[in-house]
Amino acid sequence: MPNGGDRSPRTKRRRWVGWIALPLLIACGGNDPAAQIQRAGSWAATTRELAIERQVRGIGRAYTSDMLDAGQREVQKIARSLKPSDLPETLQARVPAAVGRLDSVIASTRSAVRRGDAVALGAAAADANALGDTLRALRAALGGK
Amino acid sequence: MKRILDLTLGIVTSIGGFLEAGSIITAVQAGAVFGYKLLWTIALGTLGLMLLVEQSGRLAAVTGRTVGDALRERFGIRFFIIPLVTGLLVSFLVLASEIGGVALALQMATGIGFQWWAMPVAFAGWFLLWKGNFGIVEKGTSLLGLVTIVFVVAALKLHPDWGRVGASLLPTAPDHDGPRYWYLAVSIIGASISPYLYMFYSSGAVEDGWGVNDLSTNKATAVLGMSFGGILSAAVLIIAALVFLPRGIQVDRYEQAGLLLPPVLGHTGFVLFLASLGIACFGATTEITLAMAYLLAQGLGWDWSENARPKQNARFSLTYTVTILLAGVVMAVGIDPLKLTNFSMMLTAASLPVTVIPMFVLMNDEALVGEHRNRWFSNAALGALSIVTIIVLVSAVPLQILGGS
Repeated sequence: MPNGGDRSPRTKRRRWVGWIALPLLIACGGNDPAAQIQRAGSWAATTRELAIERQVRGIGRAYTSDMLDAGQREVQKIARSLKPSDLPETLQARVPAAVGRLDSVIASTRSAVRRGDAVALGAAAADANALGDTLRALRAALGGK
Repeated sequence: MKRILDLTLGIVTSIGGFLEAGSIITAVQAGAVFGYKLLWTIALGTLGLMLLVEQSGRLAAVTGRTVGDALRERFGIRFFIIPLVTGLLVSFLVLASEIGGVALALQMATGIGFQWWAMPVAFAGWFLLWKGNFGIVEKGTSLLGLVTIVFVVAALKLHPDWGRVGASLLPTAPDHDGPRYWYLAVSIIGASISPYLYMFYSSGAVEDGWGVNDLSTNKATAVLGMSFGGILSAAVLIIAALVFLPRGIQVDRYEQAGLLLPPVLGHTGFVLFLASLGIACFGATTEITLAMAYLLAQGLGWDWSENARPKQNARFSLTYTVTILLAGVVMAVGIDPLKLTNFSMMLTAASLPVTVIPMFVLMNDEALVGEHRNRWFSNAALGALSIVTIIVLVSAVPLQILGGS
């Protein structure tokens, strides 16, 4: 039977594989560039908040350093997962540059925390805030919300 | 006078023991991404828990049997194996995540990695169970857990829009990120209606020697204690909606939740957050460990009582010793606490039909509960809850795949 009515074991197996693979394929969408840029934006906001709260001694030093370390690891993971070929041509340079800049802002925030430099923490918060805006604009340009 | 004191203590301990690792982080994640929109799931979960706690307490007070005992006797050991194995497996994962919650609070306070704290936390929990009695385990940690009221204080200080808060108590469809929305909805229900809670509650009622005279205390504890507890969860979500959402902070790591209170309460807020997380998760650690030992001992017909000396119930004591130390090992190897907590909440939600639907049969069995069997309202509510749990079971796996990343 050429159309529709084929119910051979092989076809059934293929259908099962298809049904199992479908959600997995959709789940891979969690690594799409828009989601990764949004995550980077969230880490920019977290860095800003850490800098502000540390500046006024609202949070502990150990906690701030740990969070910045964790944030840097996450941002580096995001940078590795972003492939320029998945991005529109106009964003192929801007997205990796923004994520790379976030990596260095986190590093400078961590350094300011270690030195206990309140002025540098204020500057880091401003940098992180500006980067957050940039990442939001990039996400919007990519067709995100 | 003693009855009023018992009632007050029961309600207060229910409030203090309500929050734990799962309910805190799922509420934070929901508020950070969807604002108030998922408040209805907390309301639904709280109503479901209220119902199950009242019924399991009534069962214990009327029959002198725990839910575990009654399930085995009514349905036989062949059926009982299903809730037994499911309950133990799910509770073990939740236990590991609670130990992770305490360890994370210690990490955030000291900077020493949570993996290093996991075994000391497990040992401290075991020591309390070994040396303490049921009253100390239940009331001691729950009274300390009243520190979690700080979330209500912070939420009030933020002056939320009460009109929008009220409107969010009714279910609404998401306007973005649908799979994530429903994933969090199911996770919040799992965090609210953990079977260990009502299993532990019914065992506690038997430990405390409840009888039919305690039915009014049971009802008041279930309704008032769980309502106030639900308000705590809602407060966490409201704070996340007002602090994290406008700043664009989403929660990739559990520790990010440490930024929840400082913008509202300063350094005191940070300290109280750590205290709340540590105490709430430590209380849950001891309660889940006991609930697992109760379930296994009741299922296999062993002697069990936290009020007896460990050597009088050797197998019961051995069970909680092995359980808590093994759960400590799971966290000591460095599993991500946020992923484990989210996964265990989803699994908890998926396991609900296994205990909720049989409760329907137990509470309508005249030979078992006599005149105290369910009336039409309780049956209608439990029936609706059973339908919700079946929907949750069917949707759990796809949502874990689609919304859990």
